[in-house]
Parts: sequence; C-alpha cells; structure tokens
Amino acid sequence: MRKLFLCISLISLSYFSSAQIEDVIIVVHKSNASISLTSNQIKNLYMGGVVDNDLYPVSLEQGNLARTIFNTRILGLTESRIQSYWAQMRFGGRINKPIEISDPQAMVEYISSHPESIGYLPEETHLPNSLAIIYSTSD
Amino acid sequence: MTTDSILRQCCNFAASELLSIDAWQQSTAVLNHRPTSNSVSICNALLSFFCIAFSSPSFSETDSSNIDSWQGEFEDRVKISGFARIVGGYLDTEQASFRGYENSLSFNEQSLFAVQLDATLTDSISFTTQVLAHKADTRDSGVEWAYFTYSPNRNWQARVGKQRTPFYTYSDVLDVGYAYPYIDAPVQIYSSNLFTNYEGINVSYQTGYQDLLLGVEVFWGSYDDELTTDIISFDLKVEDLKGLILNGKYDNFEARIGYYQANMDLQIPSITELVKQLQFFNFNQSAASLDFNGSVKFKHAALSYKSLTWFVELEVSDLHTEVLLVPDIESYLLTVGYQFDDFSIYANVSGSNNTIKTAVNEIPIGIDPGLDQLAFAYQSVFQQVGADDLRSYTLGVRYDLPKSMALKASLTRLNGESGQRSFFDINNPSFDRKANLYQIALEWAF
Repeated sequence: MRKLFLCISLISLSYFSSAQIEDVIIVVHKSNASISLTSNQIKNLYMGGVVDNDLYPVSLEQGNLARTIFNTRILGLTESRIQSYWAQMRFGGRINKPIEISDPQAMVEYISSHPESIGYLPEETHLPNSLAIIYSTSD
Repeated sequence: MTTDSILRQCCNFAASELLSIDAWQQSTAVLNHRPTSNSVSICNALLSFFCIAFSSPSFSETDSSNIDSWQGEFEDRVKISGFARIVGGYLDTEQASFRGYENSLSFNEQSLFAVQLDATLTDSISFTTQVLAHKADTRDSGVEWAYFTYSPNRNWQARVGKQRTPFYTYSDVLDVGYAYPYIDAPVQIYSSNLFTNYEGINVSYQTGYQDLLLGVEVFWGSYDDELTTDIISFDLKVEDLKGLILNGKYDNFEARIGYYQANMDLQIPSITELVKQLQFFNFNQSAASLDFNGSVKFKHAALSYKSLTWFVELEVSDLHTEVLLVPDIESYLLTVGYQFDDFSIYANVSGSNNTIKTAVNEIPIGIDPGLDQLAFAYQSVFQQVGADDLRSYTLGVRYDLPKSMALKASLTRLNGESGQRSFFDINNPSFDRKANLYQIALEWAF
C-alpha cells in the first residue's frame, strides 16, 4: 500500500514538474505598455484597491494553473482565503471581485478588445502584438 | 458595538419593576428573549423606489420581440447571491447559558440563511438589499440591508439607506461566517446582534500611493426602535450616530482605526418613576445619575497580517459613556493562525474589562424610614449593573471545501469573573463563571 502511494506521488510529481508552468506574466493592452507596476500594486489592484491608473483587473477562473501561481506569487494568499475575502467585500457592501475569464486564450482576446484591462497569463503564452508584458514573476 | 451589553444592562433595570432583589432572576429571563426590530419604513420606501426605477421605459416594453433582450438585460443588471451557516454549540455547564448555548447541543442559536440582491440601475448607481432568515428566537428575520450605492469612480463610494454599522473589522459581515476564521467572533468585541444596523449615509474614499493603499470612511445616521421583551417594552433612540474610520494596507499588513460617537436615549418606566421621587426630595444629583440620556463614545483599532501560511489579527476597543448606569468597557482580541493545504488552525485570546461607575452618595441614611427606603431603591439600581469581564481562549480549525463552503470546529474556554455576569445568563448564583463552549459549523457563500 505504501509503495503504491509512493508510486502515485512520484508519477504525479513528475507530471507536475514536466508539464506545468511555474511563472505568470502580467499583461496589458499595448496602448498601456508604458505603465509600470510593482508586485504590491498589482496585488492591491486585484484585491479591489485603487492604484494610480485606470486599469481594470481581469482574473482567470478557478481551475487555471496560472491563477494558482498568480494567487501564490503575487497575491500571497490561498484560494480559499481569497474567496473568503471576496465574500467579506461583497456581503459587506464594499467592492466586487474582478471579472473572471475562462482560459488564457479568452484572456488574450478580452484584453485585446478591452484596452483598459490588465490580466495575467502563463509565461509561455504566445502574445499577439496588441498585448504588452509589464511584469513577470520570473524576473 | 457593545450596545448589546448596554441593552443587557437596560433589560436588567427594565425587568426590575419593583427594584427587588429577585429582579436579577427576571432580568436573565428577559435576556433570553432579546428585543426584536421592526423598523422597516425606510426599506419600504427604498423598495418602492427600486420598483419604480425598474419600470423605466426599456423595461415596460410589452412587444414580445423585446422579451429576450429584456431578460438578458435583467440578468446583467440583477445579481443574486447569498450565504448560509449551520452552527451547533454545547456549553458544559448546567448553571448558566452563554449566547444561548446550554448544556445540550443546539443548532438554533446562530444558524441562518440570507439572500442578497444587487441591482445595477445606472453606471454609477446600484441598489442592494439583503434578506435574512434566522432560527433563533432572540433575533428577527427580515430585511437587514436596503440601500443605494453611488460610486462615480473607484475612489469614491456613497451608500444611503439601511445598512450595517461598520464598527469593527468584521462587523458588517458578522452573519457571513464564511468571511472570517471564527465560528462566533469573540463576544468581548463583537457582542451585539442588536445594533448591527443604522439608517443613514456612509461615504468612503480610497486612494493608492506607491505600494500603499489608504482609505477614509465617514458615516452618519440614526437608529430608533421600540424594544419589546416578554416583560416590558421601551424606546431606544440612538441619534446623531457618527463615525470616522481610517485604514491603510501595505504588503501583508493592514491597519484600521475607528472613532464613533452617538447620543443614546432610553426610557425605562421603573427608572423614570424613581427619578421623579428623587427629584421630589431634591436629590437632583442622584436623579441625574440615573439618566439614560447621554453620549456614547468609542474607539477601535485593528492590525492584521495575512500571508500564505500565517495570519495574525489584533483588535482593541474602548467604550466610554456619560450614562452612569452603563460601565466603561475595554476589550481586545488577538488571533494567530496557520494555514496548510485546505486547513487553517488558529488560537485566540480575548478579554474585556468593565469599569462600573460609582453611585452618588447624597441621601442621608438613618434619619427617616422613607428616605432609607429611597436610598435602598437607589443603591439597588446600581448594584444591578452587571459587569462583563471575561477572558476567553479559543482553539479552532477551518477546513475549506470547494464551492465556497467551509467546515469549522472550535473549543472556547470561558473564564469569567466571580460575582459578575461575564456575558453568561446565570441560573445558579454560585456558578463560578467558568465553562467550555464547543462549536461546529458549516459555512456557505453562494
């Protein structure tokens, strides 16, 4: 039984390390390419705070690995704590959580057509000319 | 707010119609049937406005070809969400109850279900209402929130209507157990289920400066209700309620300070009668000392740290009132938690310290039996001021499930002060004010 468990964990570990991304990039529309944000400012923006520009944050839906990485590396909070935070904000009549997009491809399309938005994507995403990277967790 | 303790205090006096010693027993009976709120006038007004707003031309279109777009627009404009919690608790003593929990497992005290409706009226104006169903007989079900929000941009937000008082960190989401780690937020700070609402205006502004987020919030309003218990009903008016909150966030740290002030006016027939007698004999200082009109001022400060693995929360509050029959109260809570996988575990210590004010010593004793009786009646009112000193230690665990659900369990050691009330409803006066409270909960937000 223990061997079986070890076997499963090794398989899953190798799967995770070979097939999965580890970093995310923060992207905006090319018209906003000159904007520079610190990791804390990106966090503030995604937690509903006002940062000195007019960008609207867009998230990937739960289940996207890039979301988990973004939560961990930028927001510094677990998914359940983020959900708990948004429940506090919504039912406290404060602010609403960012718009959520189903997958990276849809995110690329959304930002291309919504120049005022900011989003995150897996590091290796092929970007069209309409988008610009303003931050990367691998830097 | 600690108006809960004020109310408990008032109920004590209210129950003591004859100012007799056994009034204590009566008053604890009163407290088991906490007053209910029936101020819904403003909500009705808001709801009517809401209906009118939605019967605008684009919505009153009867042409069948427009029904689909009407539906689409309605779905875009109206969002329905809600939350629910099932909370069970057991107190390991027969000599008292604590927040309704007794020596048998009960799921009735804090379980609830609520639905919130958010309707976008224009780009900057929305309407929110929250309707709550509660199982406990100490609390009314009904409209908890009904207000309009005007938010021209992300810096400014103004809310007008019936809304929750944002005194402490979790005050406006106390019913939303999913939003915080505790099952029952520490009673020393979060002791009220009564004065959670006010009718008025709340304006907030937030801005960012480099990595720092700063916010300021002011509110002003009133609360007016006829409080009804089994034994008596009386009017509680809270007027000119105003508050100022400043908050800042930097990295994983968040700080919040609040200052609140209100004028309280409470009429209790038995006390009013005694005041008249004191005034008749010209004991004006004594009469004034029983006045339930006066200002309440309180301060609150909170500091928190939240990271992937650790969280720490500290809250302190300080309440001072001109009303001599209400003690001054200092309280605090400190929580340290650790998270791993879908679990979080935490330890909390909370405490409260009440300062009971002294009675005026004006009535001469031993001269006249009538005066002796009056002095006794006067002193016995002060003797009934129940203090709520309590130190509690909680160990708790939260397990997060998918779909915004969470399971919680906690154990709280309650160390009250002998001779005091210490937030208990005491059945046996010899009770040592020490007990353990076991709680479990299922939280859900949808």
